[in-house]
Amino acid sequence: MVTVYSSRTVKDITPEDSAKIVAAGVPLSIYTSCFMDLGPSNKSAIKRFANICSAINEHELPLPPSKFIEFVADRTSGKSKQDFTMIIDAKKGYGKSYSSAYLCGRYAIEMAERFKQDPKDYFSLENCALLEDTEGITKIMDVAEKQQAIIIDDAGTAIGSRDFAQQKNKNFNKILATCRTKRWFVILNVPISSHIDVQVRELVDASAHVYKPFHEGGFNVLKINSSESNYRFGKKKVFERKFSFFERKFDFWCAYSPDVLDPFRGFIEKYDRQRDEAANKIIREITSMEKARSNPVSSRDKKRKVAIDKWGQVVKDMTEEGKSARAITKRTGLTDHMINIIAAEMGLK
Amino acid sequence: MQASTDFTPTTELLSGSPKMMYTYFLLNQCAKYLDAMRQPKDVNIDTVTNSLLAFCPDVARRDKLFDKYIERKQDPKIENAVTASILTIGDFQAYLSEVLEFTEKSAGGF
Repeated sequence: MVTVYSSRTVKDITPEDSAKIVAAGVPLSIYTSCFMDLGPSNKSAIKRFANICSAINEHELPLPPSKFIEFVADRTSGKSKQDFTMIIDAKKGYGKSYSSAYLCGRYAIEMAERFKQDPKDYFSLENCALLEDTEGITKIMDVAEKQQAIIIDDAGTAIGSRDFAQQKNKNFNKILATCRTKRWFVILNVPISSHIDVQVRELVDASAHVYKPFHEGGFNVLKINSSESNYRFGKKKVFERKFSFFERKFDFWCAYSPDVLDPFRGFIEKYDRQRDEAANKIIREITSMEKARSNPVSSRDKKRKVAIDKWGQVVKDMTEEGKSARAITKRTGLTDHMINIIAAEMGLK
Repeated sequence: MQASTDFTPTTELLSGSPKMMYTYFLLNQCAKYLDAMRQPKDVNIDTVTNSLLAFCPDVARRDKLFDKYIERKQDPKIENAVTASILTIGDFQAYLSEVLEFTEKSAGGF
């Protein structure tokens, strides 16, 4: 069982845990000070950080307090009615989903500790929109309780920037802009953040990037920046800053697999299975759409077929009886043009 | 060796922050100081050292550095004013490096 410490509980760190941490060569200060001092900001800073992250995972040490998660929990549970939305971007296979599930898992543990509840009350597989379209996402959001952690995986599927003017994007923007009182912690996953609707990007509070995946070590190193978009003097400006705690700017953040968190053991297996199903569903839908596109039946063709089926015989009979086109129009309600088409189809003179 | 007397900042620096301007000015002063130290016989070491320390933005720190300089000059181990001056300016640089964040520190979170 891996203990997850917060800045409140770390004061009561057990002697066994302390001994285990020291024996693994991990500085105890990263627990007591809630961050790791990486020395000068140079290229090897990430190596120093990765070595410690790896040692924690390898020796199954308790997880150090996370100031970022505590900051998010302060936002969603503080007096001012705020929520927190962030984007995680990275190349395919870099571990966006795992990282976001870890962050949501830690958030759930933090909230559960604060309000004496079960972590699963704040985050579960039901809160993950996996390759869902807008309808699927809005359904999840419709049933989600307050202060939940929500993941929208591959958000480009639902709110892609190419569909910026479609009603589905507009509806999602409306939800995101007005859901503040729900006080959710929403994470949007996307390979490149420009792939999602610009209005969504402008509304996020933070943007994270999987800077370096360490899959063999069981963790990813993220860079997380606060994001603020302003519109001043006819120009839009986006300010991105590193998160700063204890008068220190944080260059790197570690995200483990959510499976290291006891309440979420086995989460990834279920997540992957559900994601595979969602991917198969999308492939099926797109395949059938493509088939329909390559063998198109236009509305004009449909209309002509219906007219022939319904009025073909009448037009034929009346033409053979020598009735005028005006009389046929009056009888059938068809236009001259449609009567000519039917006549041509039926080989009438 | 003659020190450069051109203090005109580049256009980029003219539009830079006060911190950048100050850093640029200070580094020019340091260059002049080093030139002076290379020919200590022709210059008044006290004047050169004190004029550079006078630009220390922290008054309390400046006074300490002045005292330190005098103390070092009188230290029998150091022997001469040139070494005392260089050591004091070294302390000044260490302080500036800290406040101007020449060396940025990194931190990681979990």
